[in-house]
Amino acid sequence: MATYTDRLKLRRPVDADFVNVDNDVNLAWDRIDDVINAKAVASALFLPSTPYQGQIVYQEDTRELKIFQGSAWITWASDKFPRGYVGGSSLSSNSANIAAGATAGPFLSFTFTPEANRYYWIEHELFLRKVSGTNQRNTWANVLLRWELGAVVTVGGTAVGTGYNLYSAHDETDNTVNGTMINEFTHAGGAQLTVGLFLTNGTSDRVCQIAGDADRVNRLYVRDVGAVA
Amino acid sequence: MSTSTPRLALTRPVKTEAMSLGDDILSDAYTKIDLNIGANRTRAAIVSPYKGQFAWDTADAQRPDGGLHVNDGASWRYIGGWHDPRGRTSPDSWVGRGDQVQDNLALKLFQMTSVMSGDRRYMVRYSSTLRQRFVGSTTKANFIVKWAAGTNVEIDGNLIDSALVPIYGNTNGCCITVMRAIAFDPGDLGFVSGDLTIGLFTDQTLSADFIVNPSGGLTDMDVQDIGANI
Repeated sequence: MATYTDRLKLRRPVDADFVNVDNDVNLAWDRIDDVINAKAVASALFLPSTPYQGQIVYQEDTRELKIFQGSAWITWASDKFPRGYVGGSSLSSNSANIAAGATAGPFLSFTFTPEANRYYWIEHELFLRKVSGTNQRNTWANVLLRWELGAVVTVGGTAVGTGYNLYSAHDETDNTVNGTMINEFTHAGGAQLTVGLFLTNGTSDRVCQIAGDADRVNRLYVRDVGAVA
Repeated sequence: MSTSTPRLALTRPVKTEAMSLGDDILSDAYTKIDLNIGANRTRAAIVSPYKGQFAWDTADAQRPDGGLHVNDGASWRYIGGWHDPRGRTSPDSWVGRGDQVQDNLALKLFQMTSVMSGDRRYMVRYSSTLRQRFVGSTTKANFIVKWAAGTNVEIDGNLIDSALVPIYGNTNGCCITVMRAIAFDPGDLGFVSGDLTIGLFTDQTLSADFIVNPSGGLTDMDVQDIGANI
C-alpha cells in the first residue's frame, strides 16, 4: 500500500500500486516546485500554515530569509544586515604643520564604491598636537570629514555629518589629545568616491599638526552597518 | 543499465530496463527529495553530505555556531544564523550636543530611541569632549548611560554603564575626549520588544566645574545589534 513522505507528503507507490499520473506525478511535481529553494511570501501573514522542519521561505516585506526550526520561524539572513569592514587608512608619522586659521587635508582618506541604500560608518581616531604658539593657551582644531566622487577628495568636497572641535590637552607645546568620532554616510551608490579627514586650526596664533608614531596611530576606516530601509 | 544522479542518487532508468515506475523510481526519488528539501537535518545527522547540501543546527551554549551550514565537499561552512549581528539600529536622533554642567546636577546630554528586542544584545558607543572651566584643580565627570522602555529616559532609568572620567590640569581649558563602548542586554531586565530609549547623562563629582562639548565639541552616540542573546 502506498505511503507518504514525512514533509512534502509525496505519495510513494509500491509494487502492487498502479501509478496514477495525477496523484503520483503531477501533484508531486507541484509540491516540489512550490517549495524548491525558498518559497516567497509577502509578509508574515502568509507564512506556510503547516510548515515542515527545515523549510526555507523568503519574506518579501522584511527581506528576510527564514527557516522553520520545528516550532518557530527563525530569521537566517537579510540584505539589511551589516556587511562589516570595507577598508581604511592609517597615519603613523607626524603630519605637516597646520598654520593658525588654516585648513589642510586630507590627512587620512579612503576610496571605495558604496552601494545604494546602505549605511556606512566612517570612524576615525586621531592625535592632535600643539606645535608652537602662545603659552598658557591650548590649541584646537575643527575636524571634518568630506567626500568627493573619484579617487581624490579636496577641501571643496561635501561634508559628511557634523564636524567637531578637538582641543589639545594642555597649554604647553608637544601635548596631544586623542579624538574619536563616527560619521554616518549614505550615497546613491555605484560610483567610486573618496572620503577624507580635514582639519582647520581654530586658533589665531598657534600651530598644530596630527601627531603620529608607533604609539599614536591615526586611523580612518569605513564599515557597512546595514541597509537604510 | 540505469544510472543515478550525482547528489541525491535518484534512479535514472533506461528504456530496455524492466523497473517498477512506482516502487523503484518514484517512491525512492520522493523519499530522497523529501529528506533533502530545505535544511532538514543537523550536520551530525548527515553521514555522507554532498557538495552544496544544507544543514541546520540549533544554537545553544554548547554549539554557538548554530545556524545554517553548507557543505563544500570537504567540510561544513557556516553561512548565517539567528544570532548573527544585525548592525545599526534605527535611532530617531543621531548626534547631540550637551550644555555646561553645574554642581551635582545630572544632565541628559543625549538620548536616542530605537526599536529593540529582548532576545538581542546591543552595543552602545558614545564619544564626548570635556573641558575644565577653572584654574587650579582636577575635575572628574561621571558619564552614565541608562535605558528605559518607550521614547524617553531619565536618570532613574536602567543602568548600562557608569564611567568616572578625570581631567588633570591646572589651567582653564584642559580638555579630553572620551569614547566608550558597552554591551547590554535589555532582556535581562524583562524587556520584550518595542521602542527603547538610551540616554547619556553626566554629573560632577568634584568641586570644579567642567563643560561638556565646549564650543564646537560634540557628543555622539550609536547603538548596534551585536547578536542574539542565546
